[in-house]
Amino acid sequence: MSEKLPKDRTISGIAHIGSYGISLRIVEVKQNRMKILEAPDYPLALGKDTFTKGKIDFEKVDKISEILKGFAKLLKEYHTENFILYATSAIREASNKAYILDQIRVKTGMEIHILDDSEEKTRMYRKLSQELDKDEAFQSSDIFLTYIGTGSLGVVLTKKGDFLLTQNIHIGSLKLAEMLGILQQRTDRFDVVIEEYLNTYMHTLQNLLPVDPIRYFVASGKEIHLIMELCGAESTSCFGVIPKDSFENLYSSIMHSTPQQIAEMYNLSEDQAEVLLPALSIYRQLFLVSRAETMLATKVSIMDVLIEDTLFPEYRDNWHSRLERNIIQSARSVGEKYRYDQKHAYMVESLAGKLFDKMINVHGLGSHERLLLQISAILHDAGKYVNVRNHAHHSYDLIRNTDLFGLSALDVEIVSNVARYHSVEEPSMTHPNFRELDPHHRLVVSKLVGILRVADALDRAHEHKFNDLKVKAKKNHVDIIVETQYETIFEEWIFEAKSDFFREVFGLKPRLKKRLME
Amino acid sequence: MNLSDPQWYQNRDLSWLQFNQRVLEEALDRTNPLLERLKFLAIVFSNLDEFFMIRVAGIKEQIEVGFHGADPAGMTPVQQMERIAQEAHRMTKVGYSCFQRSILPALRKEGCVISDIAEVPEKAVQFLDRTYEETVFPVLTPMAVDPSRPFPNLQNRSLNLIVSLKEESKSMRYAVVPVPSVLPRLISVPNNTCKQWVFLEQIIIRNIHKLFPGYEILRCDPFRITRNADLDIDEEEADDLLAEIQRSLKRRHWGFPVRLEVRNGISQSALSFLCQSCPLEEEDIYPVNGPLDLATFLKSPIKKGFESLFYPSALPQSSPRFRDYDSAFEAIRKQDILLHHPFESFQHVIDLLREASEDPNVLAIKQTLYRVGGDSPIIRALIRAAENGKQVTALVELKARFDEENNILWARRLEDAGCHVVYGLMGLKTHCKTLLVIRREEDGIRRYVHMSTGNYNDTTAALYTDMGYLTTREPFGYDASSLFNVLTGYAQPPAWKTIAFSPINLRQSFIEWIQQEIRYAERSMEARIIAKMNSLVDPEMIRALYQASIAGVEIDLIVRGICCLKPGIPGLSERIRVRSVVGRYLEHTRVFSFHNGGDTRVLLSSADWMPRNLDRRVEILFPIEEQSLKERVGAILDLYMRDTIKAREMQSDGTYTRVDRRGKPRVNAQMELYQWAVQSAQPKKTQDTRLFKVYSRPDELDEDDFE
Repeated sequence: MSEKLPKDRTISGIAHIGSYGISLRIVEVKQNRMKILEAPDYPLALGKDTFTKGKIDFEKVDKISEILKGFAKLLKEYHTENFILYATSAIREASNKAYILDQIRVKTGMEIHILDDSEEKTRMYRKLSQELDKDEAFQSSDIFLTYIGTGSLGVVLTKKGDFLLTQNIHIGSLKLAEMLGILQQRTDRFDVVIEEYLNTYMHTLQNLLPVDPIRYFVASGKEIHLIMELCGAESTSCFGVIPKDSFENLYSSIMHSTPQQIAEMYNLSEDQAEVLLPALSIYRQLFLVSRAETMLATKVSIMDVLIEDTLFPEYRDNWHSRLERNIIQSARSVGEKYRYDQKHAYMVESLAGKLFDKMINVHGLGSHERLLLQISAILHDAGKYVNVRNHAHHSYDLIRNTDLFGLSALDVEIVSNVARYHSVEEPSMTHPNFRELDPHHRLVVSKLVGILRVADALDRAHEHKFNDLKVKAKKNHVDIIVETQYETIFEEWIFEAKSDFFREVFGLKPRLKKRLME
Repeated sequence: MNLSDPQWYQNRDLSWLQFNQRVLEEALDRTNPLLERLKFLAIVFSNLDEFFMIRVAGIKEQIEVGFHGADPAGMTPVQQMERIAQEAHRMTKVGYSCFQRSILPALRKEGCVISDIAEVPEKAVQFLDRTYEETVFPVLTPMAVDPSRPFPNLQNRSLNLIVSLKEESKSMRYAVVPVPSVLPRLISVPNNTCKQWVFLEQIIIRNIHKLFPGYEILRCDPFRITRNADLDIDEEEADDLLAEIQRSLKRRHWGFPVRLEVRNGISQSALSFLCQSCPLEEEDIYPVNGPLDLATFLKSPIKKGFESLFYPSALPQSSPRFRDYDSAFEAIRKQDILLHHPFESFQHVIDLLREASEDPNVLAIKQTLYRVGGDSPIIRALIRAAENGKQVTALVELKARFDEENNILWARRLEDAGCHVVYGLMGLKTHCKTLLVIRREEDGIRRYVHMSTGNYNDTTAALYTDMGYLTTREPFGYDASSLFNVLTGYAQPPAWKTIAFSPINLRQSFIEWIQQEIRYAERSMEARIIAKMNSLVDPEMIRALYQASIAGVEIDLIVRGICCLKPGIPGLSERIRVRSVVGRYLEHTRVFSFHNGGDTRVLLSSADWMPRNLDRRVEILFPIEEQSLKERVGAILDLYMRDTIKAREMQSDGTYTRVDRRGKPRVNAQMELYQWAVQSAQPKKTQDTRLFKVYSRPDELDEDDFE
């Protein structure tokens, strides 16, 4: 009975399970314009469970299913064509995450797409830089972007769309509130406790920041919406200025108050009141550390970002090359931190890239894997910072424990595995770090390792002897034709040794062919 | 000045009795058609029944548990009971005198005789005896009362006979015979010269000896017990609200007694026996001069042949805004539409629903149902829609007083048809009236919204004045969607775009707007409030109005029923005028107009200014956006303020007087409004051949007055 919608019109549903509740947006898109049809929000303190007990009570999981079933009815009413359900830190960090996903799947038939921490932040940064780009005032300035989630916070120093510095800190507004909440009953200077706790993080951050003062500080995250309101900040566009004095006034008027008092003062719910002081402290500390002149806040929420990403994937694609550039830049700055051999890393990155590109038909991997290979190439020797002996192991550990901007947890796992196997050891099911990957990603790691080992072998002496190379894939072997003016006996010998794994993975024997440069 | 001083407030129950007095005056008014007067009288007594079952029962309970707290008017429960009883006795007396001395003789002149059985000719008496044998006797259940058989638990509002019996040489004893409620109360008597009726109980009394062979019948007296009927439902504990309400409905029949009605001249011994059996104070006994339960005339068989004794028929008119369109959707898409019932037909709303139920582009229909009435075309359309595969969501308010049973029935039927039936929010009655149709159109999803001051009840829509607003404006659609998301439990109340929502911000909105007028007044700018509602009880709202009056805001209140505010008190409320219109139709619109510095704010609501509406119910308040409709509503309010026929003005002592007509034209607002509707419905070019259903049987007054 139902007629089909015209082609240029779609109705989509985007839902988000957050720390404070569950939201649904049913959105109609026609000719690139969107209209929100339904916007139910159901408050549910999930983050509180996760950050105090480590897991979410099963009654609440039940409630989530019940709410989602209601949402399903609404989605049906609009004959919604596509629906995606996201979850962030409350579910992500719950120890019973797997059970929750399963129970919800069984009860509602819905699959939850969990955004990992870095994905959440990257998406937020993407949206914010896109909005900043729109305003000329911001285009040539240093901007310190902050995003405070309930469980962690991220900062980015950006200029002209490039990310000069990214840093993650694993404290968030709610996590901090829950962690330090017990202390609140023991002291009437809770603000000092929070400040001292944050200091350790701020010191680290301060050392990374440039000497010159930063122009703009941009605050994003759920609590800033409330703070803007309480400070009477006006926002005409995506960003609004929070006057320093009203921010400080707000801080000093609540710094000695209990959540109950704060709730009464500003007519807030207790849940809101509880995180207000921690959130305010974090923003304040970050603002002080940044030494920025102007504090801006944005009303963009993670829900806005999710909607846009889902409905207009092209925005994300357009941003993709910039994102990659920033990811690589961030990997290089990590390399610098570990005093890597910049030239060698660059050489291996370049050789590996070329091998990858010329072997597309052989390995069948895509551009994302190429990016992972590049980062593995940049950081493969990072472990030498710890010790040359066993350095591949150390590389694995270092990479795994570094916040690499723009990479998901899985990405980081792949990169560190590739680094681990670039040297002596080969991937093996006896290694837990390899075994824990799913079969597809094990294969990805192996292929990338195969390529990286060959690329690394070609610059084994770190003397950068090969400028260019050609690859010709034959039936049973791959010819790698290099041009060089140097003596390369050492490299050829190493190449022989390192190419076994390549043959094992690709079923092709690599042959090094040398062409002397005129 | 202390604005909370009890002397500035009227007790709400006494104010309600004043309202019922105004209805009684309509019964007394010889300019009203005779059978309409009888209907008004029936309404007076039906209203009193419910007043006793709910309000008096509540006060008695307070007295019982020893509550001595005073109401805003400073009266304790004992004081209130005393005044209420006094007033109720007086009203009962006047009502019966009106019936016996005015209405019955006048009817007789018209050839309609409601008489004592003694007046029935011999031949016809034989007919009545046969009726007794054939149809009455089989359904009689006499119950003897003696030490082994205690006094039977008689149903609320049922009519019974107490029979004093004597067996030879033994002492006197009693039996109770309920008058069967399954039979008509008025029995037609064959008579060639006129139409004649007798009351059923008289036929039974005449034949009562046949029930007790071997006994001497000393006396047989009718009596009637009214009980507490306020449902006491523990929602928190109720897993299944439906089942819980069904259980408590049974209890309603057996609540504690609050009133006993008997006929004047009942035997003293029978009366004291009754008083022993149902514990009542002397003030709770109402001896009446005439047949018990005059509310029975709400369902009077006296119609055929007496059409001239009723109001001339006034068919609800079609709205001109629908005239040029084949589809209701098209009409509403083109313009906002305001329907003023019953002058304009409720059929438009039913048509919209019917069209929606069949339209392939309609995706979903959502509606609140509070009092839907019997065999409702609304319900049929919803069922049809569900059968046609639409997503139908119905919010059925099970706690709508006296309609619980009816609503349970409809809820089940809707569920069976595949509708998604929800019962609203715990602890809050859903009183707002909203219909939302979600339709897929060429240029995207469009939402059709109907928000109203009155229920989706086709019967009362022909008797109550109500306003419904139809629009496709986006903010209304968004709010309506959100409202249903709250009611279905999918979401908590959001930030509303255009409506105000009780119990969250409806009261606050009113208060803010009153304060805004105060600020205008303080700057010596024009400041004016006109508010029309059914009841004004809420002390906070009254205080705000007093403040406004003191500040210089001109305030006109058109309050049909209870009004606890006292107008015209120098220094307090001299700028407040209160009037009440009681006429052919039950005034039910809730309309609010704030001058707002010239940009008049016009709003409609489902809520009265009573604590229950503002704090314990889901209600909405919505603005009229279109300028011409705002003006129309303004003109309607103005008309009510110019009424000189059916309006009464409240005095500062809480009493009401008719408007002083000297020098003013005769204006009957309701009749004028009907004339407006007739004129605007006049077809411009083509004849509108639609037929509208006629409602012949008027219903009772709005039961809400008693909650």
